[in-house]
Amino acid sequence: MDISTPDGSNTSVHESKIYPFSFQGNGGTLFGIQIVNLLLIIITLGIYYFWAKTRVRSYTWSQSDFDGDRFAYHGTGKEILLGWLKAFVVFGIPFYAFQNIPIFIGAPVPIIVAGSLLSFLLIAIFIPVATVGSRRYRLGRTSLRGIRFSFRGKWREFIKIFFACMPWMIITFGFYMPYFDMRRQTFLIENGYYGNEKFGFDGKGDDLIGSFVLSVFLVMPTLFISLFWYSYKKTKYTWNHTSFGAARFQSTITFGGLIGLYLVNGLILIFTLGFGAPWAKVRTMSYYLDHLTLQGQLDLSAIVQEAQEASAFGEEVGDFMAMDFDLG
Amino acid sequence: MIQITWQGYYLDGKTADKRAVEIQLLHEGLKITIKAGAVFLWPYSEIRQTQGFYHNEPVQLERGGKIPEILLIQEHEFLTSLHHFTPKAAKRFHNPAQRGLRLRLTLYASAGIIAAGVFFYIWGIPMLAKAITPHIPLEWEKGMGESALSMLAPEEIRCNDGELQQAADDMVTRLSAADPGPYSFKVYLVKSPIFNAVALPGGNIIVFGGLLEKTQSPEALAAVLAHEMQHIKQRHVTKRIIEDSSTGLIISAVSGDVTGSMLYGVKIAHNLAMLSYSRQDEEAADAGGMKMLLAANLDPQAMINFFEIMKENNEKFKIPQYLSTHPNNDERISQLKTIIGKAKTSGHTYTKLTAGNNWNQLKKRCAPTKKPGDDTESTKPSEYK
Repeated sequence: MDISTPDGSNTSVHESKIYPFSFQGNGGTLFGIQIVNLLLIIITLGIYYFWAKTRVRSYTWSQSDFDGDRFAYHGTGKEILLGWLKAFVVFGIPFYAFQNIPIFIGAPVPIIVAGSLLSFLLIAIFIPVATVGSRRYRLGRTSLRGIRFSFRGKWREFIKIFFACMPWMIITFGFYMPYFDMRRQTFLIENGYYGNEKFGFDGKGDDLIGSFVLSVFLVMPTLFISLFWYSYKKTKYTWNHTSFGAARFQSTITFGGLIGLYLVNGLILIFTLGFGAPWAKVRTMSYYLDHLTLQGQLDLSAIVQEAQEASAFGEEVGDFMAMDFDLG
Repeated sequence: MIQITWQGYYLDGKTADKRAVEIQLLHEGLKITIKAGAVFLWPYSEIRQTQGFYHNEPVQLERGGKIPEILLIQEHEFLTSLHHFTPKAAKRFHNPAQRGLRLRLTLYASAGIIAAGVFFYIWGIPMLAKAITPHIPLEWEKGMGESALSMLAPEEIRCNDGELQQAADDMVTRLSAADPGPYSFKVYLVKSPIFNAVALPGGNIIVFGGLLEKTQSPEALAAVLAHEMQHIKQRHVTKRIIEDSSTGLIISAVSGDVTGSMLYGVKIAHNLAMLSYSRQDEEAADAGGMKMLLAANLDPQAMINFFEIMKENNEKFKIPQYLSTHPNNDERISQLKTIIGKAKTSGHTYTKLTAGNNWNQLKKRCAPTKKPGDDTESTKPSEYK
C-alpha cells in the first residue's frame, strides 16, 4: 500500500517531484466480477452487457492509482445502453439500409453502387464521431480527488482533421501516417482537461516518420513484428510528449517488456481457453501504469472543479454524438 | 473492537486539495474535524459509499449531488467498526465481513454458467433445431442436397447402368405412392466399396456399391430406400445440419469470429455422410420405413433380413459406417417385428419386384472396381472426411 502523502495537511507541492502511477487490481477479483457478469448477461439475453461493462470499468478505474489516490468512474449502464441505441439508429440502420435496400428491391447497378458508397461515407463519419464521443464520455465520467476530467473537443473539428489528411495519405501512399497520427493525438490530448487545467501535447510527425518508414520496409523480413514495434514507439512517444501544467508524463515501457507481456498473455489465454483473460488484462494494465510517471511541478490545490456536466461547456443540446463506443 | 476515532482525508469537490481530517463515529452520523479547525456532521442517511469494496481499495464516502464532498479512509477496519457501532445505519455501507459471499457468488455463477452451457447444448440446441426445421423452405433443402450430392457422388463415380437405375427408380415410385408427400426422390448409385447409404435433404439418396452388393434381393434395397426416404420426409438431415451449425455459431459467438462459423457450416455440408442421427430419429425412420414397405405391399421380411446382414457386417468390421450410429441392432429388429406383427401379415402375398429375377447379376453391374492389391474393404469413415 503506497501512501505517498504522509502529511496530508498540505499536498500542494511546488518543487519538482516524480508522481508514480500504478495498478493495484488483481486477476482473481476481476475474474469474479466477469464471471458473475457473464451469467447475468446470459440470463438477461445480453441486455446486462452495458451494466457489466460499467462494473468492470468501475473496478479498473478504482484500482488505478496516481500518487496514492484512486481514480473513480461515474458512468452508468443506462447511459451506455442509450449511447448504443443512438448509434444504432443514427448509423446502424442507415448503414444497413444503404447497403441492402437497393439489392433487395432489385435496383439497377448504379443505385446499388451509390448505396454502398453512401454507407462507406457514413462509416468514414462514424469513426471520428465515435472516437470523440467515447473520449468525451469516458473522460467526463472519470474523476481523481473528487475533480472531474473532461474532453472539450468537437467532433466536427476532428472530422476536419480526417478530411484534411486524406489527400496527403493518398498522395504519399500512406507514408503520411505518422503526421496524421500526431495531428489526431494533438486534438485528442489538448482538448483534455483535469478540472480547469488542460493537458498539453508537443509530439511531431517528423520524429516518427523515420521509425515508420523503417517498420514498413521491414514488414516482410520481420513477419509484421516491425509494425508492432512502431506501435510501441508511437505509444511511448505520445506519452512522453504529453504534459499537464508544468509536469510531463514519462513512460518507461520497453519493446522487450511488451513482447514478454503479450507472449505470456497469449500463453495464459491459450492454456486457460480464454478464461484467463482477466489476469491478462490486469497484467497489461499493470505493465503500462507501473511504467508511467508524471514529473515536474504539480499544484493540485490550484486545480478547480469545472466539469460538472458535459453540457456545462456549451455542448449542443441534444448532441446525439455524445455516446460511448469502444473502438479501442 | 470498535474504534471510534479514525484518520482520513477530506475533499470538498471544488479543488483537488486533500485535507487531513479526524473522523469520529457518532450515532447520528460521522463527525469530521478538519485539522485547521472546521467541524461538520455527515448524517449516515446522506452518505454513500463509492469505493472500498475490495481488500486493497481505500474507502471512499461521498455526500451531495453532482459535485460531492468526499471522505477517504485508508483502513477497511473503519467499515467493520461502523458495522459494529451502529449496525442499522451501517447497512448502506459495504461490510468486509461479508466478502466470503462474493467468493461464493463467483463459484455459484461459474457453476451456473457451466450448467446453462450444458443445458443449452444437450436440450436447447435440439429443441431449437426441432422448432426451426419445419420452417426451412423446401428449396433450401434442395439447394443443400444438390451441393452435397456433387461432393459425395460426383458424375465420374456414378454407376450408369440403365436397368439397375430403372429398378431403383421403380422402387422409389412405388414407395412414394404408398406415402405421398412434397418430396420428389432420386436415387444415385455410386461405384464405391463403402457400405453406406446417405439421405440428403431435399430428396436425393446415395447408395454406395458396398451396400448394394450386400442386398440379397431388390426388396432389401427397397427397405434401405424406405428407411432413407423417411429420414428425408421427417427432415432429420436438415435438423442435424441446424444442430451442428448452431454448435458452430456458438463457437464463433464465444471466439467472436463470424467467418469461422460459416466455414464450419460449409464443412458440415461437405460432411453430410458423417452426420449421425439420434436414436429417436433412427427409430422413427425404421418405423416409418416399415410402414411404407407394408403400404407398398413389399415383403417386410426383407428389411429384417437386411438388418441381420448389417449385424454380421457390424461384427465383421471394426468400424461399420452405416451402422455405427444406429441403435442396437437386435433391439431394432425386435421393434420391426412388432410392427409386422401388428400388421397381421400371415398368409399375405406380397408383390415380387421383377428385378428379383436376376438381382445377383444386376447388382454386380455397380460393383466397385477394385484396385490391384487393395483388399482392405474401405468401410472406414475416415474415407469421407
